[in-house]
Amino acid sequence: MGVAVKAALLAVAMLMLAWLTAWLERRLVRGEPGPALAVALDGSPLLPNRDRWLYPAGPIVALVGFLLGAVVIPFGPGLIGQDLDIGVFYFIVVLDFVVLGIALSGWGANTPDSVEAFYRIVAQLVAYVVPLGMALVGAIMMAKSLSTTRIVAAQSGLWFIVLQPLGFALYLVSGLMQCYRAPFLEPFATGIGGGILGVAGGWPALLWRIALSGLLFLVAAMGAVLFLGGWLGPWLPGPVWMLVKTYALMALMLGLGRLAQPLSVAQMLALSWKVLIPVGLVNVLLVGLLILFGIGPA
Amino acid sequence: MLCYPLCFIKGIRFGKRRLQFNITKSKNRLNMYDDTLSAYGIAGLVIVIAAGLSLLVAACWKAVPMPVSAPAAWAQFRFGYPVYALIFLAFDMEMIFMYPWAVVFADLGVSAFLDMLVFIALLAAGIAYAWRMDGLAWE
Repeated sequence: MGVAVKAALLAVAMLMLAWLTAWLERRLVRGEPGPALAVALDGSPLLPNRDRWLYPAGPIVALVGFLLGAVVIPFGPGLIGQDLDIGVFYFIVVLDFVVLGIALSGWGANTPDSVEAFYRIVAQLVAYVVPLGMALVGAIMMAKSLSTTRIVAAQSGLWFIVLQPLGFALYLVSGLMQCYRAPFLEPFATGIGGGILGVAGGWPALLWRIALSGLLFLVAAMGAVLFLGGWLGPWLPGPVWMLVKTYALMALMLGLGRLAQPLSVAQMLALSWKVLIPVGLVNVLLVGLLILFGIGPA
Repeated sequence: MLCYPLCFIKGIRFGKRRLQFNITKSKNRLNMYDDTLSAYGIAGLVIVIAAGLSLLVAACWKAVPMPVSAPAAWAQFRFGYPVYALIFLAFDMEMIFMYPWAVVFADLGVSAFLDMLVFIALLAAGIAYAWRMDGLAWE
């Protein structure tokens, strides 16, 4: 299959999955504020002080980040955009383009609310990146590879959620923080008019909806790859298993997130640096001990 | 350009004699360029597709303009997390160092574990110090 056909198929599949994610999420969260909230698709706000380039660049950069991240998600043996040797590392790097996009648009819109959203989104990045990276390290240690397909293949005996429950819990919390769902939706809070979504309308609003739903899908899909054995499973074909696990994990994350009170950015930073990062360091050591005692994939 | 150091390492690993080394090196370099191009070509294409889709949507989507009145907000602002941002830089780099270590850990065994133990102890001391000095407080 030519690389151009592959890229086009990947883009079409991802747009459909993002749409499915958005549809499911709206059923699940039922009108709560956050990235799932309705944005004006048919009205485009004329912002008096907006930057001519930064403001429209934001949603495009975010869409690029989402589609780039989707390249390394495997849906079956061989059913992957490109099995990069540095897959997981590539994934966490390109997904941050979504943050860059939100920051560009927030700063570029140049209203008090959107600039506030810009500050909050950057602070949230500082909170989630390190614990998220530490949650991934455990899976890499056991799989001895950064490639997403090899990480799935290493779980053919036992899923990593059984071997690394602490890492899975860490991924749940920091993954929710990465995709701005409750209780970590401070950059999209109603207090600042929905952040950048409050100043988006027309085509940027459509792109934001795709990119932010896609972000949730990718975070859940990567969780399924790292801890739930990806496409592995009996009876059903691989892609079906992958989608079932992804959406089950997504429902679990959204459900658990709604049990907690919304956190301010200051509380998120405190949670991250006083709880999640120490837990992440402990998780790395625990997984190391497991491997030294010969527990895990051969 | 990007993969030149990698080619160099591969050349050293594969060849011992000088002539052989040179041939392997240049061949490997060509192969590496080829592999890298074909592996990351899809990423480049995806960027093009995303940008094209966005422009298409921007050109076709008709939206009613709604005037909004909001004051300009670009100003110097004292953000609440300067110390966090600095510690973040240190920890982000440290996390990146963990990735290659994690890949080879299972093969290296106890010595790699002890190395990382020292590394993590130093970092934990760093967090404890920042915490103690109120560095983890919102300003």
